[in-house]
Amino acid sequence: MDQAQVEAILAMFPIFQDLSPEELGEFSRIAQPVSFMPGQFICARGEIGDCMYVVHSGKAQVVVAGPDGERVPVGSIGQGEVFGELSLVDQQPRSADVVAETQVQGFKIASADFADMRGRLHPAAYKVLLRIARTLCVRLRDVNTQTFGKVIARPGAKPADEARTFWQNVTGWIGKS
Amino acid sequence: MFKSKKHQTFLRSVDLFKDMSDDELEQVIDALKERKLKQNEVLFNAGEASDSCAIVMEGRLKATVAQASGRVRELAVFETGGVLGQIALLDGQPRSATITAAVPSTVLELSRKDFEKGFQNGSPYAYKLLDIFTRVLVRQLRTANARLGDLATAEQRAANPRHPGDPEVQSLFHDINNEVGSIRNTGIDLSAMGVSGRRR
Repeated sequence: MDQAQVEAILAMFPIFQDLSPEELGEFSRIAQPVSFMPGQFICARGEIGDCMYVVHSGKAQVVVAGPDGERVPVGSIGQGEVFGELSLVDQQPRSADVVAETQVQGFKIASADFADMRGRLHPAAYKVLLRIARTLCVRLRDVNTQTFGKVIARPGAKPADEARTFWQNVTGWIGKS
Repeated sequence: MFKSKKHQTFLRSVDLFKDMSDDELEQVIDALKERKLKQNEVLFNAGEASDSCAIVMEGRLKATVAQASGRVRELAVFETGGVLGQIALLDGQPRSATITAAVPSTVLELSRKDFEKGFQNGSPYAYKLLDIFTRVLVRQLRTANARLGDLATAEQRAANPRHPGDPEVQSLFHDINNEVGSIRNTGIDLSAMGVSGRRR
């Protein structure tokens, strides 16, 4: 795949929407093609997130550990979606497994390469960072709403629903947008 | 000039601004407007459109939300060096909380217009402000997630049929209902010290 093709693919993702063609070129140079077979782990819970993934084709399942350690699927990630983008700003352990359901193809952007662009005060990095910061804002509003909606609930109220909301929220740490 | 010197000394004392060069800091100071608040004075109201964010220079402010029941809950407190209002500044949505001065306070306000202008011009100071906002957001989200996690754990324990009115569980729930509330925000980087959140 040549660089122009990579740029054309990246251009379709909202996270790169604010970039000029030249800036997109910067990202196409650091984007590493990745491919996963069905059943293969794209990332595993507990490992430090050191990159963001953009999914060009295929479908993957997001799985968290439930309260008793059981595997709980909490969603799927498909074509045109991005995940792990918070890893570009905060290297935390992944909160969920992401497992390829079909063959998955896409790109990964390493946190180190992004940090390098940021270090050079490259506008492309900051335009993407603004998108990520807005994602953080959405999450924070969401978590606060959940917390302050919850504190007025009494013990025993809809425990199953509440627990699921919590685990879904935790999934946010893999950074699915 | 005197005012600007005062602001410079202050910002230099805040961890979050340590990566800024003197030039960048000077540009930030040019864009900042000092505002004094009396005790109980409102800086901004939940639901309002946002046009600024602020950093606390002196005093203490609190963020509160009114719940559906009408009860007012404290979400966070902001002390010297604490950054507030950056969420609405960045995402353009209405304010999520009301910010009130708990004691007489002084804040430095940055308008959304100035931030956006700097950002669009590719000014390093605006980029570094975004670095700061991002760090603050990451820290707040981590703390808020931990708080929600505590709450979910308490709820699961409370809902466990083996311990239905377990006094210990009831008491834990009581604690969380009453004290999980507030996140403390200062200019000191708690996360860098390995502290994920601090309760008052």
